[in-house]
Amino acid sequence: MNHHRANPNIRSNSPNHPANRPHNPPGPNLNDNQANLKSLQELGENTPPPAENQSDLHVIPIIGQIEGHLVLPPKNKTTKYEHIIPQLVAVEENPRIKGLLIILNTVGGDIEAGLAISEMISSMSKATVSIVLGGGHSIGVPIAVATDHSYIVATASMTVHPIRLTGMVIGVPQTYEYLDKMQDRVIRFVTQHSNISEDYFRELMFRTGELVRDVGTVLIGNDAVESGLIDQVGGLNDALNTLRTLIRKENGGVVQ
Amino acid sequence: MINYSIFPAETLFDDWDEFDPQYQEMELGEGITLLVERIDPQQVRINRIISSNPQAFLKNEIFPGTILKTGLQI
Repeated sequence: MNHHRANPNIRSNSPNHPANRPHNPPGPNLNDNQANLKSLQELGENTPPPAENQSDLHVIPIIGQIEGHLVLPPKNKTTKYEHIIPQLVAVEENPRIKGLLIILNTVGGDIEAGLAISEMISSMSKATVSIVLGGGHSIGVPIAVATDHSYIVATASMTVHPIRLTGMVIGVPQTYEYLDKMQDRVIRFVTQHSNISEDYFRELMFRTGELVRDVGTVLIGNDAVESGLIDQVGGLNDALNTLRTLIRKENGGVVQ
Repeated sequence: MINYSIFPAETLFDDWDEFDPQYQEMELGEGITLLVERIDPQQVRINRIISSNPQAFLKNEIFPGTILKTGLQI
């Protein structure tokens, strides 16, 4: 087996593609880490974009279930918090990256993982914008409002509903007090980072008669904006323009 | 775990009993270790990056989910 061949399923005519590169290309000396990465490129199938195409914006998609303390079975599409949190640190530290776009299409997930991601995003110094596509349900709500500015596309929905416990539940008052405390963490974060009032958010969360098998409310597109949860209805272009505007403001109005 | 999701727990954990992922560590040098899952004798999928250098998490070449054709003994 030729170890220097790339995955035969991936074909490319690009001179940057590992299969089309000479084994010992001329150029500057590489340090060990770069050499290791280069070796990985030659074995793998992922080709990085050319340096001249690198944007000063970073995009993090949060898709499917938000996976936290438990690894979910493979039929679930998940976003793992151990992938997201170090990326946020890297974005904050990287001088090339000026702004962060969070793309959300999530059904919710682990409450602690979701709140951890939300807190990390809200405490970043760089410009951040979120856009809810499809759905931003349950623990997706605090993540959506954690950015400097939030968008929802007209057809997307957000479900606001009470939290629930999995596993053994002991039927004592302390269980309900504990659940209430956990729920307050979500409510506090959302009301502190959006324009919705605590009373109205609780009303949406505990509303009956709207969901078929649950308590709560589904907000679609403009409903989320009118409730004060999301800043604006808009799409990708709006989100990118807002991000550019925020970056300019942070740079004192200087366009870079 | 407190699950705050519109999906019921019985859907999320439906095949939990059969789920037994086999992870291996792969040293990359410069303080980067990859946690990989072997998907067949020639290929592994990167599951996780283990590093204290945050910039390691922005490298496209080792992004989680990337399938590496190894041919190497790990």
